[in-house]
Amino acid sequence: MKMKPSRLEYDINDVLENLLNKGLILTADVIISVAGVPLLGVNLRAALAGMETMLEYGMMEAWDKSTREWYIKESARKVTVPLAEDEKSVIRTFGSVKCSRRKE
Amino acid sequence: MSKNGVVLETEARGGRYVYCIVNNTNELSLDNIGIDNASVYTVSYRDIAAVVHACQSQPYESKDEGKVKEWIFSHNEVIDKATEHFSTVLPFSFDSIIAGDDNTVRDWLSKSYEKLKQELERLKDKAEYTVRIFYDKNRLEEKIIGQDQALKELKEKIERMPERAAYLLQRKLELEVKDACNAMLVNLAEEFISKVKEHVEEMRVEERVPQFPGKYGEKKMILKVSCLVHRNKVEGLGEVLGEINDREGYDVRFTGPWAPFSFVDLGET
Repeated sequence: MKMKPSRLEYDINDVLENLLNKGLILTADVIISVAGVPLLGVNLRAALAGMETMLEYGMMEAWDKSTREWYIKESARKVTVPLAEDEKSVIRTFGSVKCSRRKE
Repeated sequence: MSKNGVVLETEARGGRYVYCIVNNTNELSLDNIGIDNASVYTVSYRDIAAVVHACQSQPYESKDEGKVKEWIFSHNEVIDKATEHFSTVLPFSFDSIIAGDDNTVRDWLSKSYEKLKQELERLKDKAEYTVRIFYDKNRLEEKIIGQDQALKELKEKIERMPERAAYLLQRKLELEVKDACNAMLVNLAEEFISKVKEHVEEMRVEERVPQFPGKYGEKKMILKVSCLVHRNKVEGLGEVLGEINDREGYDVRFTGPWAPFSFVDLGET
């Protein structure tokens, strides 16, 4: 029997997925910024997509806060490396180093 | 203007929550249908417009899941209303906010005009549909054993043996059935994809989700595809899906029409 597409109450999963993981996102030059930190569309989407789980465990706040703090701290101590005459900077990015200390 | 003046002005301008882009020349109001009953209106540039509401220049965030879902549904409803009004829409993801006022929105429209217009043309008369196909695992396994002479004999042998002695053979049977099942599912998915493909402009095979809550909880999903379908072809797609749905052991869920969330693409902007 021929099927007709439907949009019933229980199709909320499709609505949530469409609006959180799909659709257009804004580019960085017009996007809002929060506390001086550009909140890029991609990050926002990623955060929202996992929101239910993250909120459940209260991770969102911590994640958000620490990421922003880290960003602000890193931007504050931008180090300019002196370049020789024929050198130029090709890419500029933040990095982090993971280290663990063995307990005595 | 003093530096302070600039800062104040930026703050006062706030933001514009963007729902979607449509074909429209006039600026008009769509009433208080937005998130938290915000007043929704269009900001035009030439013959395209952004459907927006004025908001603060910060994202909608809440720890209350119910609240967030309510916002998301409001956004979806605005997209539906816009689709009714303007037919083709380019939907935006939830919580997309432009920092600035109507002029900022217009600037952005003018900068992105070519791409937006091109997308509106490309997606004209087309809508997105989601297709999920489920199968009954037990029935598929029975069918596989029934069709394979060696497996059938193995099963009968196990049934004649005492339970303990049959343990290893039972494991062997399970593994072989599982392999055969997986091979069959790959073939089925390919078959279904090629059938659906004939009736769609574009399709996207979504990440395989093994389980789906609710009515289909007992069954497993073989396939989930998002399809961009021309409105003349929806019936044809419904026919093909109906044939699959009528097969024993298979269920199809066919939802839509949705705004073309999976297919709208501005490329690198």
